[in-house]
Amino acid sequence: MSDTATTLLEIIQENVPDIQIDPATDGDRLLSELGIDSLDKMSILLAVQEKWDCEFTPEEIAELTTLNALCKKLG
Amino acid sequence: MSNPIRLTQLASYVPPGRVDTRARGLTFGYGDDFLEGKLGTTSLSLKEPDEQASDLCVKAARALEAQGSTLADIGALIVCTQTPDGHGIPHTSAIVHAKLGLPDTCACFDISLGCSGYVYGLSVVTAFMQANSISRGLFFTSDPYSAIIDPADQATSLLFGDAATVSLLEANAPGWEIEDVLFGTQGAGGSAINNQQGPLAMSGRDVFNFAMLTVPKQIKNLLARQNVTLEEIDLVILHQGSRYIVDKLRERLKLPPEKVPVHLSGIGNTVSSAIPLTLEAALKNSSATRILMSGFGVGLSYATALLKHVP
Repeated sequence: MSDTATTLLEIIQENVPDIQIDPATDGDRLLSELGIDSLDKMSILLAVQEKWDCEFTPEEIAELTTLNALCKKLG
Repeated sequence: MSNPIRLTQLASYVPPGRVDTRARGLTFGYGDDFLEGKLGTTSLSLKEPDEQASDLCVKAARALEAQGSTLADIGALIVCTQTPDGHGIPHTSAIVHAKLGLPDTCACFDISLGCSGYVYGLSVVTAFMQANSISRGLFFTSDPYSAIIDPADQATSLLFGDAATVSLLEANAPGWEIEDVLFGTQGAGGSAINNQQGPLAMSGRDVFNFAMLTVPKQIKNLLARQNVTLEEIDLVILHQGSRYIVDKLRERLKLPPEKVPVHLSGIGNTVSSAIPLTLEAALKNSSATRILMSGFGVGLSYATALLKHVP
């Protein structure tokens, strides 16, 4: 697992402690299917933007629907 | 401070009508868990169709009288609202003045602010009374947002409830005194909450990011300026935008839940009334002597105040 994916998972666990994610099988599943609702997604993306010092446009946010999409976006 | 102005009494009016948001939530794919757990309520307080901001203010004033206060010698009456009676002329405070039968000598004006309005307003009213030697004043908040909500709008139709509050401010009386306030505005982001097309429109993400990135910093700056720590504060009253936003701000501030009350159930986000409603409820079961309150929202405007109780 890449450093980006590891950090991303840590951020998700911190913001949504009740969910379990297996990056090997859940990477392409929709965040909503993993139990991450729209408000949780806001928190996660804010934490990601703070961590990577970046800013997503509304169009980019709409496309960030899976863990793999997020990892790819962050490089 | 000579003739200090203090908040001596708080009263409110929450209309008995309710919007049950459970069916509405399902149309957006939200179950009860989301409504209760994330938004903080499955119903919203709702005024009668013919009631306006001033009517809710008058009922809050009657609640104040029912607590034993009189409206005698009121020298200032200020209403914070962005949903005034009619189209805004005359100002709602003058309409409340007439309905309460207050004397000609009473100063009346409105303040146009949303979720930061109570904190701004307390400071404005206190300073106005102090500067003009007014010994008794009423500060109302009243934002019946149901009048501007589109029931089909996912971002707003599950959140906002109707209510009004009134704060009695008096000179040289025991009560809550403002120690310090910080104000802020990010006008460039103001379109995040607007009614330019008629109904209320909100970008929840923009408001959330704004709150998370500005409010904790402002709170810390105010405490640093006063050389006070969060541990020394008995209650932190945050604007009740939603349960989620209160919880996430509390987590960022590393505060325990018992110090940051949530007061949304059965009511919803009542805009400028959210902080005083929460304060009123919290003080019923608290021996707090020092509180911090922070409002944030429409504008994008934010303000944080530190208050101490002076016996």
